[in-house]
Amino acid sequence: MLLIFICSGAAFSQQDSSQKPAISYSAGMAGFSDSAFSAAETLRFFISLESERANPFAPSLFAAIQVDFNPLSLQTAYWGLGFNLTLFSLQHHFFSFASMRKTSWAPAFSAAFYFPFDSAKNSYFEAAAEPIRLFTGSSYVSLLSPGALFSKNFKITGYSLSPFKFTYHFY
Amino acid sequence: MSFFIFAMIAPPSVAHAQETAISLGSWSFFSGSPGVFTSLGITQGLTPRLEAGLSLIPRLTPEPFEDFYAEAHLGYSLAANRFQGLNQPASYINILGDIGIIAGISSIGAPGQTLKKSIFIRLTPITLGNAFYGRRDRIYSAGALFNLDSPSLTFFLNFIISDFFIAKRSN
Repeated sequence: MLLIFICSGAAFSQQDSSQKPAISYSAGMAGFSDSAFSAAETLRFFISLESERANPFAPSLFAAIQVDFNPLSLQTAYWGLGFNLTLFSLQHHFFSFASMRKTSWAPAFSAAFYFPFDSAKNSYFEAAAEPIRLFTGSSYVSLLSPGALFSKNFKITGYSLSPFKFTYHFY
Repeated sequence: MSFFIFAMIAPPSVAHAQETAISLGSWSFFSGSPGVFTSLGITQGLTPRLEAGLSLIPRLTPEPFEDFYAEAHLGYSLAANRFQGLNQPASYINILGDIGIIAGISSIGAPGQTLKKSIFIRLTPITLGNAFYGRRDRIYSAGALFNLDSPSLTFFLNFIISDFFIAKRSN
């Protein structure tokens, strides 16, 4: 949690009137190697607050809901809080073939705590990379994003994999 | 079966359309043990409306490659031509119907290891893009699998399959 608060301070400390924050929403799928969390396919929905709308490197804070959909179970739902950092942004890149539109390659790193709605289950921490993340001007597409899962005492317990995640800005 | 084989090995010059795409997508099986599957394959245009595809479908979570399937299908664009030449735009939006076979091994290396064979039909209510644009997304494809070993009907969903066309138009 401390990391999230530190990041939030950095994200919003240098705002002026020309650097308006942006709100975006995301939907994606994820799976986990550690069936203690869930063996199911899960859907994740995010709402994010970026510190600067026009800056591709602006960090963002997000809240998330994670629901098992295959098989469907609301009892194994989690909510999460985390941050996302874009590492760099390139306009000429290898993955340009992957989109009909002109894109920027903008890999990102994210970290988040996830808490169960059912108190009988354990919370967990996820550090994830989005190596194939393309910015199309008003949205991001992330493909095959791996993550490391940690228990609440920060022992690594497995990995996560998100086949895809789509992010759209509210404008 | 022989038609499938012919469809996959026939040189493009035999057919009216020459476009080839690499496909990446998700597979959600609503039977068997849950987990995330992805698909990686190729699609080949055969006529302005007919196409063929092949893909490999490994399980990624919770145990990578515990299940491994391969599928081959024929697809028919139901709403409009999907291809009218690389320099002539076909309908951006389309509907796609597929029929195919899927076979593979589940629980690889485990006592319950089994070979599975099924035929399937699939309807993609929305496809966006085509070879003219260099990319096509097949969205919310829903299908039914008929198991040939122990006759039963199950269902599957492809949230998204993206086709990245290898050939680009000249203008």
